[in-house]
Amino acid sequence: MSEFKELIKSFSKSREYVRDFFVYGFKTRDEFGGWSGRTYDNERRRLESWLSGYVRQDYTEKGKNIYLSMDSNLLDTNPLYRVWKAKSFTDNDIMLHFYILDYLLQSKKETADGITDGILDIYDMMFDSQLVRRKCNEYAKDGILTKEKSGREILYSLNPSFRELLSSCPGLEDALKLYQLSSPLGIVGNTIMDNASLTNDIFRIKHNFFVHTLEDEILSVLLQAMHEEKAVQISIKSTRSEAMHTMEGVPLKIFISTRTGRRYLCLYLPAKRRFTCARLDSVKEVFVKEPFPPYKEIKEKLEKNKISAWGVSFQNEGHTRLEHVKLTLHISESSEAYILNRLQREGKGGTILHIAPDTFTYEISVFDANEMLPWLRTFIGRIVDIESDCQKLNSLFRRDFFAMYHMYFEEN
Amino acid sequence: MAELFSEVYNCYYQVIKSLIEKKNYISEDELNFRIKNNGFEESILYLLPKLTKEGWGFYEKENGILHSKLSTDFYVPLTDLQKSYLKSILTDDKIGLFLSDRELHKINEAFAHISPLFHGDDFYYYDRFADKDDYKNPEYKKHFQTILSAIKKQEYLDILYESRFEHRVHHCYLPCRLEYSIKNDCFRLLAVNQHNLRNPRIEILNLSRIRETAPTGKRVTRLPDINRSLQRSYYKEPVRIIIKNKRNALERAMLQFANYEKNTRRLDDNTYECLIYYNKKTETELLIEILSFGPMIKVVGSEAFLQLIKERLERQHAMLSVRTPPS
Repeated sequence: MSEFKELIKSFSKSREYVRDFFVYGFKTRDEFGGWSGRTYDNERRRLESWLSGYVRQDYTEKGKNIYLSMDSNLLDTNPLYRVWKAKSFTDNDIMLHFYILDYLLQSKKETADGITDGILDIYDMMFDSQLVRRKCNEYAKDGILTKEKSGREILYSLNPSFRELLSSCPGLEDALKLYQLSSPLGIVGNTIMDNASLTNDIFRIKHNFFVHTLEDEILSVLLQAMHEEKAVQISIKSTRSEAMHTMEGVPLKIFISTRTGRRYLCLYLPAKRRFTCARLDSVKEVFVKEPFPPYKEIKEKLEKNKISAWGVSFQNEGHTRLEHVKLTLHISESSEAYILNRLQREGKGGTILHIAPDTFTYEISVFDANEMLPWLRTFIGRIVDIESDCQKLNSLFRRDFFAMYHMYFEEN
Repeated sequence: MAELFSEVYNCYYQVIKSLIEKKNYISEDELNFRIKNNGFEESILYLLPKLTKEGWGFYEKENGILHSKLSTDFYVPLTDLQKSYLKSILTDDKIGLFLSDRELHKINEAFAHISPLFHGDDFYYYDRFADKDDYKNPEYKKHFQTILSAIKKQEYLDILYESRFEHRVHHCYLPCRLEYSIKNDCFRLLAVNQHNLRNPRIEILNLSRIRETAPTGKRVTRLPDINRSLQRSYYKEPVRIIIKNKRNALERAMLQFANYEKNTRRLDDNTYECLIYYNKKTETELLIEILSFGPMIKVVGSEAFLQLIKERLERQHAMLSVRTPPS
């Protein structure tokens, strides 16, 4: 039996496990399909090690189930960031990291051979100079070291410390404490906090979906393709059937729902000449392809179109351009002004009219009225009428409502 | 650009960096303690021998004390990935709450050759609320900075607050945390009223409704345990929901409620039970989130929450009952 290791080489398998443990949290050992029992045991043990304090377990008839329980309102950082800090390394990697950086702190500028000799002199550690050169080049590529030519020699030097910048811009310290939780790719901000030994003792975050960080590597590749105005080929795993398929398109924007926690990649499909959205958490691989020359023109088109999208759909089943929705609500003028506020702030610029005492209408035209259904249901208890040229919306709302009513009042 | 999943950000690297930058000697007991505190749960098994015995050679042992061969000034410069992240956040509209124009200019200059990792324009929060806070308002910025400073100094503030009904109230608060809501794009202050310090109850103030802030000079030595206070505010009985896994409802619900402390179990092949913990302040939000799922989710407890759902359904039923239900 191979020795258990806390660190991992590749992120993709652990990403799926952590996601399942975190999002679902009811699967027992037998219910984790696709991998052997041994793999499950190792992944579970790693998860318990990385995220100790957040792992809970229950015993059910089907066996023990492990799950992650995190109340984002109570946390100073995203515990799932720890998964990103579990990359395995070799003894040489870690030794060269500390010896090269410490040596350059003293000697300022040096060749790879000079650094190799210096490490032997000062720390009594011997390395192959090729290894040292390779690590120095790697760090120069990553931006940690500066590499410059002086005559026939290549000199390496340490780039400035982040602490220096912090001392002249102290507000950046507090900003990082916020952004590591609130911004996209907050994990990177969190590694900067590690770099400067900072901990967040000021900010809390609400409506944050910690699980998004598991998609951050895919996201950063897509962002780069967007900035370089290039097309991509993506491999998608269906969240329902788990089947894999590929799609080619031009990545334009990331659509985010602050309510449901879903994130989508918005793509333009040149062959079909339309926009589409794919769940970001279903994208498993990205291959960056060639530049797409009319990128800016298409992006402008998206900016105009997105105003009429309620969510992420740019077309409807009736193939009409826009579908109209009119919602009539009973709202007490004297005591329920907050409902009007809700319509204003959540209604995406729809028109609100006061049509009778305690009665208001809200109207909007969108590409796909069906997308509004979950939001419309949040007004249950006040809905006088829903009118729409999307017949499915009317019938679904009424069918679901009566099913709900039956469930609570007529079942049992 | 440096990869995100890289050993440079590895937890073991961070543990060792924090050990050597603090002091140049350490006892084995302290080393043990620090690794346990800062590493993963099982890191000690791997790290301790590498640091104390024939391993990486960062320490030399003398009279039971480990002496570091590395300088306490040791630092790791930022990677280009980290610099490009900093460059990105400089373009966010909240950054002015933390940095002056001069400071912004200075950081931008330091990273002049770096492209931002992302632009605000790369993302579209399609259901974000429209009434966000006005971060450019000088008064707002002043209150934000006064509160930030008070949290750090653990100092009471005199706060004049305008409620939703435009009533002005004046209280002395101990600011504990600033809460940022991604959905509302606004800040709220989590604070304890001076009179409730013995039995701290967290009060939530919208920053946009704060009209005046004044430091009092009065400080405490320790902030109250706000997590305990928040957890104490949760109802003893969680909401108990039954999820029918139709139309992908299970996956949708598990993601949507991932923010809450919750516990889920499978009842049969297609039915799941989920317990969600909440407090009075999140009750309405949770209620409408559950309603948004329609018949895919049924609330079975607590009795109080169930009543809230039933009241809304009865009211709605009365409004729709004039029409014939669908067959």
